[in-house]
Amino acid sequence: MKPTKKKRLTWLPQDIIELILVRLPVSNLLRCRVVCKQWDGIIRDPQFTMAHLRHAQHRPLLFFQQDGSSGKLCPSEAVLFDEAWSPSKWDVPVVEPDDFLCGSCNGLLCLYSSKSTIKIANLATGECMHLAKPVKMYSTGDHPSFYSFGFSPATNEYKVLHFLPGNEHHHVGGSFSVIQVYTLGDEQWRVVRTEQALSLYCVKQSGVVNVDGAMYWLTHDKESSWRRAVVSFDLRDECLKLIRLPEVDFADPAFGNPFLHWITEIDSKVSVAAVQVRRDTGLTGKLHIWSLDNKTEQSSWIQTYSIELSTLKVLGPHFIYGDKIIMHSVNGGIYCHEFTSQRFTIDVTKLVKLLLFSPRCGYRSIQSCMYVKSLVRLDAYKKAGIVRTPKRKEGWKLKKWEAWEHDRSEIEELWRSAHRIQQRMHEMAHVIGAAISLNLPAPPDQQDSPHRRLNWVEQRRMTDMLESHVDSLDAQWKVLVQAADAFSVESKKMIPAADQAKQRNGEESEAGSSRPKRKRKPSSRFDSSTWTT
Amino acid sequence: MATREAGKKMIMLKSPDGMEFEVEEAVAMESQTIRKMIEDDCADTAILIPNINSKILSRVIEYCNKHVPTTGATGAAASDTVAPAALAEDLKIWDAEFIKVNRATRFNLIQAASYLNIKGLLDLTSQTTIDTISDNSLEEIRSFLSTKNDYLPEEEQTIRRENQWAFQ
Repeated sequence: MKPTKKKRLTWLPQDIIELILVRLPVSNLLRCRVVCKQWDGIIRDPQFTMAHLRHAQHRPLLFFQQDGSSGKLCPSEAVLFDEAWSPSKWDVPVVEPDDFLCGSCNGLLCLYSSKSTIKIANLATGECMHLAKPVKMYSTGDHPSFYSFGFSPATNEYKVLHFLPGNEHHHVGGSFSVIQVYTLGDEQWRVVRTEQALSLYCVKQSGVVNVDGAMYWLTHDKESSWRRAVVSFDLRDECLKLIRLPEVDFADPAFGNPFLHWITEIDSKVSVAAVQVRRDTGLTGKLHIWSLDNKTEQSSWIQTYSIELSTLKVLGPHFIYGDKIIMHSVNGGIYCHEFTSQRFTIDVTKLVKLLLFSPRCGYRSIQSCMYVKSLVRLDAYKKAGIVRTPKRKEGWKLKKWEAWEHDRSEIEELWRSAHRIQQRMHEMAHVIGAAISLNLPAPPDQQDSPHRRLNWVEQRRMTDMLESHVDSLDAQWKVLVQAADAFSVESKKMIPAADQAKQRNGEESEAGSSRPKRKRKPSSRFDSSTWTT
Repeated sequence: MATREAGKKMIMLKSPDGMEFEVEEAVAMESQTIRKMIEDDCADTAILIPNINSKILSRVIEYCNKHVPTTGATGAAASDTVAPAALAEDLKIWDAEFIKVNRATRFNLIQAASYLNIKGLLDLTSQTTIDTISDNSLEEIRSFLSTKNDYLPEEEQTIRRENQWAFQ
């Protein structure tokens, strides 16, 4: 390399490049890998990855499990909300239609399916790996909620946990006294025994969270007024600890009859939430939240929030993001609400609708969790013997998703043809000098990125947009026809331009005869009943 | 500690090229690095700021001077008379003027802001570069940052293929 070139390259010191790159989103950084080898080296460096992770913002990710309760089978999909709380538009290819979510940590998701493997996937980079599930000692059932995923900053290790359902029923709804642990990169699952049998029912109902190097979940505790206690599992030394919940007088009428609990994370603190549910109507009342302060030796619970939910319900495991709470209504809407104090009442007039989840109908199959787009790579862990390469003929290619895939390509095709019609109308308007207002956005360029497909939220929005676009075509068409008539009268008066006008007239009449056919095509092909509930 | 009764405590900052700058403690404490030094009582005499020459250091002090009343920890700012919105608008205009410097100075300011840990200044100085990287083609990024593409065409293709799945 010539010395002058070297000088140019080293002119911008690496630390400045890092300072700038660390503030860029993952999608930009992936693109920037191609700038030069130095940049690629920085972006792939594990230390840079961790620095980038500290800068990146945690955002809410809604995970919709496959759901066929409305009669229409809907696949599993993930929707991420950006800083402006707008939902992501594109399908996430690593989330397959039959996946279930077990945990989210440092930009990696742990996904479960009925297959023999567990999947660890980075949604932002698209990288994923499949691990063989642990050997089951008993012939009891498997369930996505028995798996969880966390990170230990002290040892820089990612661990997958599996609560192995036991044969003995120490608790109502099943129990376990063995946790199978897999550290990413290891050759096999290990066994950690618990001192006492823990409740599987509580894990299923309340979830598991990973906070600051430990996993937390709930178990039964007869002595507590909550009938619950928190179990913490340190991911470094793999020790279990039981943490008592604060003494709360649930006989207090203010608390009603709470029997829904969650374990959650708020402002990097492990928290428990209890909500009262009226036995008669099933409506929820006040949500009480306590956060664990374990900075000191003697960990203590502090009541952090008291929220009057009105008719809404929270989604787990994470529902408080900064100064906003995410909830869902019984009629299929997901909303967020801003709060300014720790005690507040949800004001239905101030709810911000994030999306409608119909035709999905089971809110139990929706999870809300914190997600951060990261550069975390999995290649270092892929050498382990338990990493599998799954056989294909799965996911979207399965027969049961054919109808869904068909609908999706229909919408995209409809979008493209509607956009073509719009372009032709604009061309005509330009020639005859008419002003029409049609502004359907251009469809994505398929050749540019073959893996990009609209997610179901965007598919819905697009269908609505196409519908209103088709409705507005008639009026715009009339404007065109009127302008064309005026144009032809005007041009007949002008003899020198007569030839040219004839030619244009010809174009219009040709387009005019084919146009109505084209216009009806979208509305007939579009089956709106598929999308409305 | 000696000058506390005079109302405003002063701090002496020294650049490696021998220049000394006397600044109010509150101004110096806009830098989290200096704040920590002061809080740890390591700032009795002049504080030497390594790697930042006097030209850049004077600009950094200029920035801190302007930004101290609104972001000062005491909160006893002159905002009683001026509306906060107007004040913020004024600062924005000032910032835009401040950042009209050549590229070398801007990169030096980024380095200084990072070392001294002044978040506002780091945001301000790196934003233009971030925007350039976000909005432009790879060729434009390379020319803006005087970087040369040192990939073979097939190597570049491989990396592009790897990132096809990127989640937008």
